[in-house]
Amino acid sequence: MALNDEKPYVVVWNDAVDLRHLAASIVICVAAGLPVFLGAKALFGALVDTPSLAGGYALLAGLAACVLAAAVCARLFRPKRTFGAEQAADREAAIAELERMGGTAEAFADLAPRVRAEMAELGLVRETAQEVRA
Amino acid sequence: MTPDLLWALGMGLLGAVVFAAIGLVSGTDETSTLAPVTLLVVLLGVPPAGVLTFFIAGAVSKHMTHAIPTTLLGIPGDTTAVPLLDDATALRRLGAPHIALRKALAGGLVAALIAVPVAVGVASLLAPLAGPIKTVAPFVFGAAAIFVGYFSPGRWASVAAIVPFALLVTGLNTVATDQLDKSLSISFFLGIAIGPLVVDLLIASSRSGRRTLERTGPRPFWLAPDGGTGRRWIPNPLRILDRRQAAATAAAAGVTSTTFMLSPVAATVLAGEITGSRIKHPYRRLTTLMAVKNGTTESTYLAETLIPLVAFGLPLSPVAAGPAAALFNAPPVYTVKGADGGVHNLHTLLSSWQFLVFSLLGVVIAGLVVYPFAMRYARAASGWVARRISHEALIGAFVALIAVVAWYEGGPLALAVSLTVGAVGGLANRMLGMTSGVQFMAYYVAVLLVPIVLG
Repeated sequence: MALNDEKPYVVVWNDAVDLRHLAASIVICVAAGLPVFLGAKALFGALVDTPSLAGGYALLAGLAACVLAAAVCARLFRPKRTFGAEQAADREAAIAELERMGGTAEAFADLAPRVRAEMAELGLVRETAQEVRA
Repeated sequence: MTPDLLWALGMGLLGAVVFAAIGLVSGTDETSTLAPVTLLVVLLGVPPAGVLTFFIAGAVSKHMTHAIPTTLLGIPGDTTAVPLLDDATALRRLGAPHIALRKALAGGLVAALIAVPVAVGVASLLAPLAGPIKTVAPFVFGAAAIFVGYFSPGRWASVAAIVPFALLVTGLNTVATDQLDKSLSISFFLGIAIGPLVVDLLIASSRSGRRTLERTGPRPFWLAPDGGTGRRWIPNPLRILDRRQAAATAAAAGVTSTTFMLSPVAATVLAGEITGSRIKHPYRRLTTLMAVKNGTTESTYLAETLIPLVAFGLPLSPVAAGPAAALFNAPPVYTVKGADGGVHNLHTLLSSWQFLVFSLLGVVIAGLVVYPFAMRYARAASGWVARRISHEALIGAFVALIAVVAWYEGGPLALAVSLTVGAVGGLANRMLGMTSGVQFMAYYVAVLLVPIVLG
């Protein structure tokens, strides 16, 4: 297998990322969040009398900076996701799947009419089944 | 209108909108989002009624929108949505992901409306026990830690790991008290909450560890077509569920909202097993399970928050110790161990009636604002998130958020504590199956029980 067959991304925290982009994102967000928080803390500390409230406002400013930085990162680094073709669900495959799970015609006959109607609407019923007309 | 009610309405609306947005982002952990943001609301000085409504509306909204990635994208919206994933995936293969979503949303709303009054009622019955429980609270936390540990995936390993974990917390807190003249709490919570992320990042930065990470191409992602919801702006949940589904959901919600020691994930799995084993036809079983499971998550979550809060004022449940921690303990505003040794938090600031009214208000706000939105725009919203918000940006934001909040509590030392706890806790979670719920309990063991044992 050639080296360039290697897949480009790794899975971190349940989704695909480019490690270089990830490192850059973390640096950008922390570099925005922490200094803004510390600056705001100094500023509000001088302006507001209650220290705990000043800390709270500084926290809010720091978090806002984190969110803004994340928005910038979202623009810089695109998601590593691709879109599958939006095929309409294949009805025949879905019915086969349902039967494999145990959803046979006999089991279907035992269902309440409301459930049968719901399934018919989804196309999960073979037209040959008599129960549809019931 | 009283100022309390105005605060409750405003903060409820804010909580609903903020957490509806966060819920859309798949993979965000419940605890690592709800806990710090609620803490912020407390620290900013919002009155108790506003804090409570904010939290309840936020939690219920998040549980509604997290069902969207779970059902439509096949990625768990967050940790509490994991038990729903298999059934949601099966329904996706049947071409009915939108049905899965609607059943989950309807089940969640029905369960939330039942859970609030039941939980407040149970709490009022338990309240006379509050005195005795408070005197033995440290030991109750010890027992609770073992109980929660035993029911975690790690079983006995989780139970065994409570001791070293509690000692680690004690040690770090001693160092912090030495250096800062105050103990830390927020930094420990954050560390435990983001443990899995810290471990993943450490492995990714390790030259030998990187090779063990799963490699992948661009992740394929397929959005299911939508079938429309009808004309009503607020689709009646009792029309979306059939009568037996509504009854099963209500029964599960009623029963689970009297319990407050099992983790929501455990209760959800249990309720799913009991309900699922009784239904033969796969379509009916899967759709019923979506309603019952999402409903159970909701009811357990609310009960675990409200029962300890209303009855004891002590965070005696995995949810109360985790995502809802700020309602109990957010020094200097709320505390479980004040200067007089007593509790000073929502428990002492609100009456049972106020708990009932403001919690229900939170559920109703989520039901009016987020439920119809999720029913209608689920597909567009999750498509936008998957197309626009890269995972890198999300992780960056979370790391920065942790850095800022930990620094807020105690400067660089607190940040180091967060990362230490995150690394150890994350490894224990990954390797031993010691979930963050067990770790939160171990934290309380360290704070309340260890000083007594050590004398």
